[in-house]
Amino acid sequence: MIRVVLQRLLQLVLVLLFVSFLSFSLIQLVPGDPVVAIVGFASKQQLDSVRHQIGFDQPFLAQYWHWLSGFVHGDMGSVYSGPTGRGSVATAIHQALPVSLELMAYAMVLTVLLAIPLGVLSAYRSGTWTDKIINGGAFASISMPDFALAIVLSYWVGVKGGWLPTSGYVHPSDNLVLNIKSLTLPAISLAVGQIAAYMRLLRSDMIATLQEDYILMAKSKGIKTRRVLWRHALRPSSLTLLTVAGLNIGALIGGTVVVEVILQLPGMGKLLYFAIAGRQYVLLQSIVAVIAIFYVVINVIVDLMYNVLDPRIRDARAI
Amino acid sequence: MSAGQGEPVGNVIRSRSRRVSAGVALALAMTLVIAACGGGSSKNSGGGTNNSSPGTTAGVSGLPSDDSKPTTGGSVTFALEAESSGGWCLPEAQLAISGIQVARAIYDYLAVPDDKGGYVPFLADKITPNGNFTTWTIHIRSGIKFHDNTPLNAQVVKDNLDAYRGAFPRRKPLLFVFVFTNIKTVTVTDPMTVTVTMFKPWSTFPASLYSYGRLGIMAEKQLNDGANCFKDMIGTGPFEFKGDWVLNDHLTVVRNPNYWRKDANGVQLPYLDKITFNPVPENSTVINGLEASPPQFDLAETDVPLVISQLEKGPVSSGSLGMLKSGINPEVRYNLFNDAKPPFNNILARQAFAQSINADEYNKIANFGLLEQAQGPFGPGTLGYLTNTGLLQYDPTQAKKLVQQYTATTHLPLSFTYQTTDDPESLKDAQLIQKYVQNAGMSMTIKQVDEATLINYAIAGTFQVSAWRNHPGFDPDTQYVWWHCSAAPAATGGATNIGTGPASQNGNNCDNLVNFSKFNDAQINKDLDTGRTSNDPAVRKAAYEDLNKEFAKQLWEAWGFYALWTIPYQTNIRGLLGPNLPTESSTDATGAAPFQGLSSGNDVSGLWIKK
Repeated sequence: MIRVVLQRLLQLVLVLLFVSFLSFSLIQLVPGDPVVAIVGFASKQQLDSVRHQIGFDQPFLAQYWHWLSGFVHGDMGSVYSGPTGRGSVATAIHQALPVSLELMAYAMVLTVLLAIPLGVLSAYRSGTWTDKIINGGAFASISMPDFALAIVLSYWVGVKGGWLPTSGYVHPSDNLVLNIKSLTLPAISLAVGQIAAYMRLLRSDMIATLQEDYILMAKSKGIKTRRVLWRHALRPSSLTLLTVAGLNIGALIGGTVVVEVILQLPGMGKLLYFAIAGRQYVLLQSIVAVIAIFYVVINVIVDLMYNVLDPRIRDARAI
Repeated sequence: MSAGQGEPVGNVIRSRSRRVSAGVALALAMTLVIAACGGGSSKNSGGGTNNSSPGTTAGVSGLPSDDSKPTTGGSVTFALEAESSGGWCLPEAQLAISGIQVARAIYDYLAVPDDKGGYVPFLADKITPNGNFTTWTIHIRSGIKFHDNTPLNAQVVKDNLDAYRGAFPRRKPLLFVFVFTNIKTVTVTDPMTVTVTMFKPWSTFPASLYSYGRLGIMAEKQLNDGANCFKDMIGTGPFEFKGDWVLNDHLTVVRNPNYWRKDANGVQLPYLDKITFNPVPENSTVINGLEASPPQFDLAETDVPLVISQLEKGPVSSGSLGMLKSGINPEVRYNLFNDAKPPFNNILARQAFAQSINADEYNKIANFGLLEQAQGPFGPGTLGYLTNTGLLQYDPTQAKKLVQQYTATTHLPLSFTYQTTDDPESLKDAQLIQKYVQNAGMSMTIKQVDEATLINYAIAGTFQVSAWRNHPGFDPDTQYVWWHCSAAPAATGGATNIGTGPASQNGNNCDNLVNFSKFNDAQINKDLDTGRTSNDPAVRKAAYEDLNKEFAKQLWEAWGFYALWTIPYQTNIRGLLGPNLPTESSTDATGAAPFQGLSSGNDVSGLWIKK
């Protein structure tokens, strides 16, 4: 276990270095002067002066090193506001990250609650009309972009139905009920596509598992179908689903830019958009690093869960 | 100034930010650039330069007719078109209209515009010039306090003015230094009086003391604040900021219980307890939020024809939503030519472009027929406005001839790159223009970039033509910073045929940083100087009308359409334009009516909720 943790830590460091260096390099290639984005119109002398204050006149590697050394010491740097304004990147991320985490959790709960029963049912009823209808629905869901669904839901559910807020975020400490309501439409928008994908994955694995001899054995022993499906077949069929879920969770942290912008959620996606559009390099780097950390941590958890789901993996590793 | 849809830089994107101050103008420019931000709205209107029937509503409409007495209490949510990520360290900020709207809630101004096009003292009770406008004396109203309970006095006013003009150590203003280059000294002559002397006569100095709502007066604490000046806002305004600002989400202000103004009946202003400003760049989100039940937004501000049209056809026509519209003192959407570089350093190219655009058709398609075609930079209500400046008409046959003439004289095809912001609405507008110019035999490539890059190109002069928006109403002297050149006109880069006249009269070597087109027009320079130094209304009117005609004659820019700012609102909201202004002797709202334009937001001190 210690060896696994150490391996993962090393992996985290390497991923962090690679991803942050790559993103830092890429944003340097974007045309335009970041100082103009920060301060707006100014004379060349004024721009040069601000550039010097911020450190954007340093060589590329020096800027990167400055950011990296600050980040590992807990100093994520500044959000620049005009020639003298300095906000805290850490504060901005601190405000945005919980929103994204909450949205991610809500979307995953919805996804799991619907994808797993549908996947099991579809696999059990493979080839029947039930299976065809579920699969048809899945293809339709995957075809709909999440941001398009967000706009449609916002109009029909929010405006026409008046059942949920059309946009905005309410902090749970202000009103828990409104908080849940404010995240419902975004969560549904994100979950629909994922439900379809997860359902399809689980269905494929379960169909194969249901052909196994031990399933036949279980049935012949008179174990009820429901128990066979949920107790004996589901667990070994979940490994692929778990892997994909781990990747998806990481993507949800910062990959929901469009949905967050449309539905006015102050999460990491919207912050990322602001950082790119505003040429806030330092903010962007820190966001990328945080997302990278989450990716690795979540996938470590996924790896550990393999042992829980399938003892054969745990035993194989023990040998 | 705004490029395409976007709002100004600063917000760079979209967006959305005028003068007496270059800063204001820049902010405006920023606003324009930023306007595109996230909104995908049609802030980029390029358009043609032809005389065609106007489709807009000049004047103000949509105010609720109601004689009920204002009630106090309650809170509203106000959707703005963009975030002001640069904050509100006003001497350094590059505010778009969204930022100006917030500033107007927190700060007050030494002078404000009234409904007659003049400026009345506001935080000051008297602003008086000497005989030749080289000295202005500002007397501050007594008894006014900032939100931190410190008094408003001459010293803090001097420090503010010094901060704006670059003479205050802790602040580093950018554009305002150019705006106030004419100020020689700012002196405290007694505890409540500041005297400002000028290098040259400046008859319209009070207009600069408003600067489109950007020249708010800040408390000493904020003025001296280092890195936090942008977010620790302390003013004398109707609402106070208590620190609740989540970037890209909301900013909340609460009632200032000690505000110095009262309404005409002696009731303390403001009426509301709280305003929450939400930056909402996405058009569909604004529309849905206004239409939802219960509504997400009580008010919004927009000049996007798509949004205006959709709301008018839906909830406004059914009576479930109100919409305040103002075509007074608007800014103008246009195509910004680079007059210093080919092909638009040649008047034939500019004329060909102008005459190729079918403005009527463009207005119907891109603007839903809502906007009035611009004849020049000055819109209805602005001094110098003319319904006919002699601007060239849409004439595709003549446009083709001009293209041929250009090619024959220069031995070059008439081709260029058109820059606009990177949103779908701007692309759609650009494609429409592309169709028109290609029909006339020109070749046009569309280049979409984000707002920051667009502004960068404008500063660097590395563009040929850009979608743009700028020059909001108010006194035309506020446009001085955008156009005036100090150098004598001359042709650069071997250019010939720059304008209709010799290069000694019409050059393209302007030494003004923010004259992005770089035209150097002797007539325009002269008219600007006349307008600034004369106090005779007839002389000033003649000068600005002459300037307007000169722009039409030389086509330094391709004027498009006047913007139409609107405030959609829930039907229980009242007091949208604010109360009447104070007088010299009284802080009650018994003076002149407030300014009727919306290009710098609205006065929120009079907002109330009808119960």
